[in-house]
Amino acid sequence: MLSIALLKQDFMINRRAIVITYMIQLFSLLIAMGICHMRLIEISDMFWDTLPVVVIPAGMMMLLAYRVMMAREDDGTMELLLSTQMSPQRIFRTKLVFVLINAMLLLTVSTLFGCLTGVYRLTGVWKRSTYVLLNLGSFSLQVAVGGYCFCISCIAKRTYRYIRAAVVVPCVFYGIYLIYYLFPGLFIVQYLTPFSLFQQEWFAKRAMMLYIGSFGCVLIGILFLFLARHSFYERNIPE
Amino acid sequence: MIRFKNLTKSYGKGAGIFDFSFEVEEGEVFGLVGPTGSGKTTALRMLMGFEGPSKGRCAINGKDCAEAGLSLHKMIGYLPQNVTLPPTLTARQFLRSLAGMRGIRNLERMFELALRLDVELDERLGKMREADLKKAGIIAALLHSPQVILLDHPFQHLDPKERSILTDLILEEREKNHMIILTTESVDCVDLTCDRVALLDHGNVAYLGDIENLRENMYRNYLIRFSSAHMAMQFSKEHFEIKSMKDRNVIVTVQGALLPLLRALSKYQVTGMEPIPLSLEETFVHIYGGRLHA
Repeated sequence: MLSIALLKQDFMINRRAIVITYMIQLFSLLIAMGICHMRLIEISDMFWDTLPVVVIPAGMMMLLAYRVMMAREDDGTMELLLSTQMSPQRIFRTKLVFVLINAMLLLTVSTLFGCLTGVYRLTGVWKRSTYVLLNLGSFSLQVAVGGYCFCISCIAKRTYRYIRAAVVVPCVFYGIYLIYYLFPGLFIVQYLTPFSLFQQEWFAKRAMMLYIGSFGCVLIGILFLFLARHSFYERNIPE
Repeated sequence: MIRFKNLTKSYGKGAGIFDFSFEVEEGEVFGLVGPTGSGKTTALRMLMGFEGPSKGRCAINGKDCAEAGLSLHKMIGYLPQNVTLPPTLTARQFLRSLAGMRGIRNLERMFELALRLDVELDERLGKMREADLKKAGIIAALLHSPQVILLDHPFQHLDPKERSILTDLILEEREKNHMIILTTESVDCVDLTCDRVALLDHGNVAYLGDIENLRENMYRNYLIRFSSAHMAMQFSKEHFEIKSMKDRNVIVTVQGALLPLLRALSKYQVTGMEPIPLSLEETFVHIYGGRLHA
């Protein structure tokens, strides 16, 4: 099913990137904690509900998807992996699980930390249960982002193409989504991008839409992963 | 047995390999020699099942390489031409994980190879020089004692001592009745290791034969230094092919045995004599001249 040796190898190769991501994540939550204690309600709560929930995990997905797939193709290590008795299917599955597990662990750790420190309590809108729900919903968003980035990593043949498609495009979409918060009059923009499936107020109000949105994110992720698998097999299994 | 039967892989515009037909037996070292783009790497990649043929087939022990894939990889050790390994790992970490992927728990063979090839296992792969990376790749290829060993440019970047050690390793594998195919751009590299060679040009087999036959019919250049220009001039009238002459230095081309040249030189005062490596192009020119029989 999965190769533990390959999981370990990918972890060893990417451990520095993973540790740095964890540090940024926790740093963001510490700032949120500080804001909470100082009761600086005017400052945006982005340090606990935007950066550690959307931006940092998405950044990790983009980085790991590149490093476990495209970078390995680029440096020739993938060919060495394919020359072992591991099937391309097993290699694909293992690398995919590696990327998704890291997202899950990152969100789990930060959720635990956030719950212990109560970073969400300043506005009085959020509770622990809705905060946990928000992070669970974030995992479904990361499945979509990770699936998309994994797909691009399997399709793109050059690094700059990966950056263009897997980094710039999601950043542009997210930027479009955020325009609404700067210009509330332009409410339509919050429905234009895939990030519309992850709206924080649904989680705060426990609206039904949060389940539909999360399901939509997972579905998008799965579709991209099927495309990724097809592309990887096409490249590495001769006709 | 490794068998190529009318194997063709065309990439268009004349690139690829065309109509390869030969066999490699157990306990044989086979050399694929040719310049860049002649199809050496393609042939190995097709044995690995990384690419499918346009026509014909290649098989290992009766199993088609394009179809059998995984089951063949268990018995193949493969060294790619450009060995690039994860720079953040040490050689030990990388080779251990590779061993784990192959289900190998006993790492004695890894340590034995590392000792013989003088690879520092705790050095980061990113800090290794090209030769050490090549040696780490060789260890990765031989780690699981494979029955079939495919080495793409194994001698590249290695110094003479390291080449000698690798030659010994290859010959030991041959003694174990394993099948070895190695590729190189230099005819000299195959001299000590291979039993048979195929010389490739633009994807076609220009020559296929045993190494003894190649050696006997090889053209070699020798730089001979005479004691005087007059003596050099006298020698130039002998029945040898003079490639060039300047003052008391003469470059002479000899085919096969050296004895006739040495006998002729015994009449002259010679102050020095050294072989000049023949370029692959020059070797091919001689082959296409019809002086060698395939």
